[in-house]
Amino acid sequence: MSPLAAVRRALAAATGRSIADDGGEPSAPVLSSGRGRRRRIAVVLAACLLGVMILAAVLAPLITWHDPLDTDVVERLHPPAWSTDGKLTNLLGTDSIGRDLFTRILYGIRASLVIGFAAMLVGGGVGVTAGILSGYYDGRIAAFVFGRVADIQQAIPFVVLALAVAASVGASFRNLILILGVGSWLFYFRIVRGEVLAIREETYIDAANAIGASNLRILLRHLLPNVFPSIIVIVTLFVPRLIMFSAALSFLGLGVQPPNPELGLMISEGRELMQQAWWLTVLPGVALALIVLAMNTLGDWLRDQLDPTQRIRAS
Amino acid sequence: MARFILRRLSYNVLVLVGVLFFVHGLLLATGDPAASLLPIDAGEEAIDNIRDKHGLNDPLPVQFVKFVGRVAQGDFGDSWQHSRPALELILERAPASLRLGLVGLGIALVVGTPLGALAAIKKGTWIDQSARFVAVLGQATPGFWLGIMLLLILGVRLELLPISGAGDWRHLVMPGIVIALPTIPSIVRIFRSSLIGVLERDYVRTARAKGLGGLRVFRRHVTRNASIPVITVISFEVGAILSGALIAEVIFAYPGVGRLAYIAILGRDLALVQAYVVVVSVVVLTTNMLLDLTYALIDPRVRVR
Repeated sequence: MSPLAAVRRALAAATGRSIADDGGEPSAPVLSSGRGRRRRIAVVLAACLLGVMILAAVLAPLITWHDPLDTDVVERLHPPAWSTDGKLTNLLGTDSIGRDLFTRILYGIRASLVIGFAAMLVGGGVGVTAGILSGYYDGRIAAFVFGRVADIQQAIPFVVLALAVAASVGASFRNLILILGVGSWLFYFRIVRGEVLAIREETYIDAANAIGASNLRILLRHLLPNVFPSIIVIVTLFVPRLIMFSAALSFLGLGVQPPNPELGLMISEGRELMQQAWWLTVLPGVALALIVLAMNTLGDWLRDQLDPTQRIRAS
Repeated sequence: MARFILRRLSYNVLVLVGVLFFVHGLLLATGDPAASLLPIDAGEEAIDNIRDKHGLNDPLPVQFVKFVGRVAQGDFGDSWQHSRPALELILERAPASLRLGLVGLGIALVVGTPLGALAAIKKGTWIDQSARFVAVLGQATPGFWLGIMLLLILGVRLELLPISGAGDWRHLVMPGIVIALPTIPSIVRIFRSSLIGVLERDYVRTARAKGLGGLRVFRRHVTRNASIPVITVISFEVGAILSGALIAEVIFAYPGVGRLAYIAILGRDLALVQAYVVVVSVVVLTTNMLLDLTYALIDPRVRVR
């Protein structure tokens, strides 16, 4: 399961324990123009792909006339339209109770995007607040408490943690968002705290203090805008991970519940019919991989754009 | 050095107490455990008896202290699914999972390091490009989905490998690949960038100038120095490997700790879930600590921090 690796990597970055940086470095100025061009093409392609997916997810009800939950036993197990027995009205075929796969994948992408972004907002909200509190106000107690909680959480692998909590509080769409969101707070916390500690020492903060600006004003006007690029980088690298986690949890039966369309859940449901109806497992997986691929490509690029130290170090 | 070890050890014990606190909290989140032990029509009195028997009427701090005391003696209580001590069940299956985890790690290294090395040596060429593309692709592929694809192609269609259970080495291949998948991209990237760093060092140039052959320089001077970050990455991946093992064991019905825990989670077998979470975090903490100790042995500066 790849998302965990990704989180561990983000964690490596967050804790500053990694010795080498993790491969974002190829964008370095050393690149030949050919490499740069190829990368630009990849980034543009990724952006287009993601744009199309987001549009399709938002406009799903306009794109397809099927309902993701509508069953029709007569129309069951049609293969995709391009195979000999396929029907044009069911572009990617139908499942064992006649639901249209194309429609379900569209709505599945929608669910994945909603979960990814909502969990990011939850985790980011908690993590950034905690980071600023323990960084700016230098609350010894706040820093201690948040730091210890983060250490404890890190001792438990994310999937294990999420599974255990989901089993205790019950699996649902809302709980999934909360679990993934709250579970990822510490990555925002670690990075934001580090940044805030550094920025606090800057002259312009002293200057703002000297002219009598309130703490809140300094926070909002001077601190937050400077931490923002880092937050954007964590977010773009984290949303695809959250989407993977959500799919994995749903696959394991502790995320989104049937009959709702979710990519991981669909893969799990298609498993029993894998020999007769390959499309039910293969296609949702492809959709999931494409979302993550597009987001990762954009995220890596964005990180290189917003984090000049990476570019310099790489040369 | 002794002080460093002691400090790390005591801190890890504290973290572990925190983990126990979390695990104990799971009990409260699940709802009234006494009610779940009895049939739905059980009377108030019966429930109260059970509560008394299991100490559920004690104040929460007392319950927690008692819980820590029991755990310190290795007693997590009995699993209701198996009617046997939870820890015993886990330790019984640990060797099978350990084997699987090591195979996964081995596959990750065998695939990841050559790719990373090739990419570094042929930096900027199509070989580098494709190695990095493999890394990007590996990162975007859901492990559980890949597992099913392998199952379908290698297990069902080609009948090359058994699709479930444990036995000989052939049962370890597909789950091993699923476990290795998330780790491969990290290894490729880290090994590539650290090799590139080392290749530019003066001592490498010196070795070349001495007239040593390319392969010899690479083996003796470059790989040795470049592999430390790889070890660090592996320590970060311990959690990923454990989670991956759970998923792989579930997909391939491999009789290991992960599958045991998964079934326990679905069946709300709390004692078993608690024991699993604690055992897993002990594994994570121990590997990380051993790694830190290794660094401290190599580099005295770490000890002072």
